[in-house]
Amino acid sequence: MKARDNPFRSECVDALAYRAPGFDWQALELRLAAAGGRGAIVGPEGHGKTTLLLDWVKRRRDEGAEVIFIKLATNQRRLTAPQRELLATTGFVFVDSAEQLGWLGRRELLRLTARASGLVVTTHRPGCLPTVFTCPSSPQLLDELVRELTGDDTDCASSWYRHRGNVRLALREFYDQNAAKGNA
Amino acid sequence: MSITRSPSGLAGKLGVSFFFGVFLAMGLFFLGLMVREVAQIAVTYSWKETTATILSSSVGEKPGKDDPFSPIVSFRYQWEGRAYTSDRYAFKPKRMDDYSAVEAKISALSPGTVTVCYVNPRDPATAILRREGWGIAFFILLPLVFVVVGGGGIYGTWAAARRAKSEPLSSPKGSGLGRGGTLLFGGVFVAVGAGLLVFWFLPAAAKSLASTRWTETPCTVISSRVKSHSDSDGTTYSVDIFYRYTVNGREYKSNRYASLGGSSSGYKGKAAAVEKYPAGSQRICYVNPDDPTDVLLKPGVGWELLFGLIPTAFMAAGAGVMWASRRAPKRVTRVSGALPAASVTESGPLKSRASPLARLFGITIFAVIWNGLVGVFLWNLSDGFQRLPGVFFLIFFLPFALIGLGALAGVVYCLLALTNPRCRLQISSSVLHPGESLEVSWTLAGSVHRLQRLRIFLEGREEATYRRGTSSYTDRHVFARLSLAELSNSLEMAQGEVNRRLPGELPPSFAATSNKIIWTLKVHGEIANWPDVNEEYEITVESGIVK
Amino acid sequence: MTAQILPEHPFYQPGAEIKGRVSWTSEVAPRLAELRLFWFTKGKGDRDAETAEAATFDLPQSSDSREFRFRAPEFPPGFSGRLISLIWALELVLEPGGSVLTELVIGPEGRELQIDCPDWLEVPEPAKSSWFGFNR
Repeated sequence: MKARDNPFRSECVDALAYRAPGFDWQALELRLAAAGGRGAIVGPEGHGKTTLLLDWVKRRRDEGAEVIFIKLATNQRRLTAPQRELLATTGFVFVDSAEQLGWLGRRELLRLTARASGLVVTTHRPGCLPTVFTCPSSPQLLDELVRELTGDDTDCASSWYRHRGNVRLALREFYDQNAAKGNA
Repeated sequence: MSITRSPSGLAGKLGVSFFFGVFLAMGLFFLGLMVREVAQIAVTYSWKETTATILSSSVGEKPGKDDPFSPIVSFRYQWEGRAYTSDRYAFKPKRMDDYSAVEAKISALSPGTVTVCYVNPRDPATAILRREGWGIAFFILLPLVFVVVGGGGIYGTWAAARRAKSEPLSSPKGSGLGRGGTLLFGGVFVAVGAGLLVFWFLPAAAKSLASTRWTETPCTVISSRVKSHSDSDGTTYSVDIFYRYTVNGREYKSNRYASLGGSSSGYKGKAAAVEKYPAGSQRICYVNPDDPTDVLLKPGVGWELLFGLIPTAFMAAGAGVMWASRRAPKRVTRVSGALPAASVTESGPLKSRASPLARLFGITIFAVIWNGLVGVFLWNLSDGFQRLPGVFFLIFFLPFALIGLGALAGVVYCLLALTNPRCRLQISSSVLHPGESLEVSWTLAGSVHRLQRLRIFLEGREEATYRRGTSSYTDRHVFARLSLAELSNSLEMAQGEVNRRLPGELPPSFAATSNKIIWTLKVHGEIANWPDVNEEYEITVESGIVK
Repeated sequence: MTAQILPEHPFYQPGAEIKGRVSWTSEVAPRLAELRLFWFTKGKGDRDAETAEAATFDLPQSSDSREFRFRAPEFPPGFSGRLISLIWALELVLEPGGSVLTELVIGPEGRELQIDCPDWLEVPEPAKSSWFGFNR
């Protein structure tokens, strides 16, 4: 199968909206407000933290809010100068992969976003900010995503278990299986 | 030859230079300290020799210090008709924690003994009894390793960049340090390894072995305790048993426990040893029949023999580097006359993506550093290899040890791979076009007869990188392996050329941020029970279609 | 907003002329109306994209129709493999309004190169000749 026709190509996977059993945007917003407008989305790799964060960014932008989105690089212990400039905002700040920051970097992030109307980060472990949502993963979730991508009902439990709940890795495995079907 | 290279910007070079700069700075700092030390020793060799009479001698003790013992002497000497007295044993008297070693120094300096002292002619009131040996000069090699690595690394980083800018890509690749530099680098490793082996490990091991045949002598324990040593790295412990014994009617004292002693972090092992020697108890010590001050409570050897691996690893790594540099091909002039002029835009030997020497260099540095750190760690936690650590520790330690063993296996593998025949490839055009003829000529230098089969082929692959959150995944898929040569005859493998028409439709080389099409010429030679020859040369295929 | 990109045909050889017409209807006259010839990737990796050429239409009206003319670039050709598809496209961007996109094929003989041809795998993957001969 050609890359362009593969239902598991990155653009399709990235376009999947965040979902989880019992997930509710209103409840999430309330939890963030209760936490003083500063909170963390927590979960292991491949559980949808970035997807949820990007969906949240889009919602805020659609509402017309000023939004700053910062994606931290691997092993980025401190914020870069342009990122610091961006954070001097009264808008809403979203930071992906906050666990990369070292202690000084986290202090700096909290200090620089003191005037921001809100701060949401994704991180692997709780602790940096109050946890407003912990991303779950389940074989049913994977089934649902695959159904949306392919239109087929597939039992994906074995793949989910093989990748220990990492949905991203499971979807990449499905990409390979589809790519191997016939020649491009 | 046009070769697609991965970009190496100024920031990258500065980063690499900083890394090597730290090596260089550390090396220069310690080199400076050691040179200063050696210079001070050298000065005492210009001092004048004269006779001295010992007035008093004893073992000085400063309780509570880590190194409490030092030789205390007083001697009288004459210089230019005038009498002086001095109490300096050496230019920089060193305190020691080994009582017997100090006692051995002063055993030949009993009061009334006439001996030799060394007088500073510029200041005759300054005189010493003993000059330091030149052994310390050997340790200059240790910081020199850092200087060579650091300096060579910085030079290599920037020299490589200059070459890339100023020379045609077809120029044969030289080692970053050059042959002389590589020899020097390897030589330093061999010298350090040999020095450690000859001056440290072998004497200690020989003494440990010999001590099993020493004379059993009754001794009385004066005091026994576990001594703690605290510094910035934490607290370590050592067995500190002070005892007295008599040889030929003379009483001696010592605090030597075992041959390879020292302090380490484990407490229980030391406490158990100390418990066996309570103060006032009568025990057996083992005295060297040739030197009554040479004594041990615990003779023989154990795990400490494993220390011999450290200098051996240094020597093996250094020898490997030196040997490899001997084999490194000389720079050659470009050869293009044999190729059809019509299709030649530029030609010359292709460069492999990673030379075997570079691989060996990299894996050796890693193996030495990793295993050194792990070895020190294990030494500390196992009471100097005196006892087996607990099961929990072994489970924790196992992955580290396996990585270390893997690295050593990698060094061996790369060393073996250095003996492989080296391939030089040359192609007819710097840029390949679909449908055109590709002419490849090759020369294999070295023991070609060991090759069972040689394959040369053109490989095309897709590479796609996906980043999400903090994860980055790069997938590769080989879509083409176009055969150029498949040989099993030694004569044919040693040298040859092949002409092949490429398929009329091939995807071109392509490199975007996350997606790439990469073409390489690959040489694969099979050698039974030995690392295979695996060389890869990146080339450019341009778009086009020919029917 | 409704918009259409109508190239003469969707298949081009490198260097060929790409011409056609774009038209749009929107509630207000757009501040910017631009047609871009660009490539992008689809597949297992992140998307790469690069604009080769762009044409800005002067004084765009709320309902308008314009002709365009580009030269198909020599490189890169459109191709498709297992991991990567490189696709050429025309994109009409209206601000405010949005954008529409039409895919093209630019490649030798106006075809997309297929890069997963079984005939090209003439040599098997180098096998381990022994336990020792793993690949580097």
